[in-house]
Formats: sequence, structure tokens, C-alpha cells
Amino acid sequence: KKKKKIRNIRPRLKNIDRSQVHCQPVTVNNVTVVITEFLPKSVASSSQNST
Amino acid sequence: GASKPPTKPESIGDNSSNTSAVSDEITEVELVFKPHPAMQASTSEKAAAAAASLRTDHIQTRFIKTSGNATVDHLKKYLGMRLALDAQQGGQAEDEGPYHKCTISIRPHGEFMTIPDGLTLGQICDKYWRINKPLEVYYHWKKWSTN
Repeated sequence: KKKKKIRNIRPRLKNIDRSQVHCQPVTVNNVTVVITEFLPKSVASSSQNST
Repeated sequence: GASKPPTKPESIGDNSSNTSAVSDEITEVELVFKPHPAMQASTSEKAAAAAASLRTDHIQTRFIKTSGNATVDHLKKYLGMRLALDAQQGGQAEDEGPYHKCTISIRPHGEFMTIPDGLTLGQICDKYWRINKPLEVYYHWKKWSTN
């Protein structure tokens, strides 16, 4: 018997730093989900002016 | 005489196929959690925010991953928790109240559409967000609007 498998692939975020995350469990109506927040990739700042 | 049917010994570990099926059902959703354009930084609104004791530096875009069964209520609560946490770290006592009154909306085809609280992110993706880019969700506090 063959089982049909539905693949649910959602588009992923780009330009985020997946190495730095903040995880926070949130409970509403006895349902707990973990929300993970990513930081945006930092733009490399090459020059720093001092006056 | 009556004969009892032989009882079958229960096989331990026979349900190994069940355990692998569970993980397929919960899918993850990655989304961009943005402030509604109405919240962004016009001078009069900043003044209104100051009057309402809201900090404008918390209004930022957040990049979030969560499970598909998370609801709009989860997002609202998370937003309130994060803003309160940030405020504590900044040495300010923040009132969570206004953030619970926020409205969550999406803009799938150019027009903003308010999302009901009980809807899950999986349902939002299936019903409204049928485009091939990460889900974009906008938050907006009612207290922010001056009308």
C-alpha cells in the first residue's frame, strides 16, 4: 500500500544570521509554541571615521 | 468445557512506525514581522507615541521562525513579551497593555487584510499567502492611530 506524502515546503528567510537566535516559548490557550527570532545579517562596516 | 481464547502478548516496540509519522505534521513557518506603515516614524506619530509612553525604538522588523500551528494570538503575546523584555533591559518599566491591543495584518496582493486572532500561521499561508516568498506579517497598535 502506497502512502502519499505531501511535502509542505515554505520559503525561507534570507539575509538573516542563523547562528544568533533567541528562542522564546509562548503559551496561549494551553498551546505552547517556540518562537525563534533571528537577527539580520550585519552589514560589514569597513571604515570608521573619527573626527 | 469452555475454552479461553489465548491472549496475545503485547509486543513492546511494535509501534515504531507511529513515532516517525508525528514529526511530518508540524511544519515550520518563517516570517517577517514588520511594523505597519502607519506606525512608522512620522513626526506627529512619534509625538503621539511619546504621549502614550510608547518607545519608538522598539518598532522594528523581526525575523521569526515558529511552527505552523502558532496562532495570531501567539504572535501578539510574543511581541508584548519581547517589547517588555527589551524595555526592562533598557532600564524602563514598560506597560504591556497597548501591545495586546495590536492588530495583525498581511498584504498578499497590495492591500492590507486584518487576520483574525484564532487563525494559525499554517492556515494563513494556505488561505491567503500563496506566493513564493516568506510570509510578511504587519503589526499595528490601535493606540497608535490618532483618529
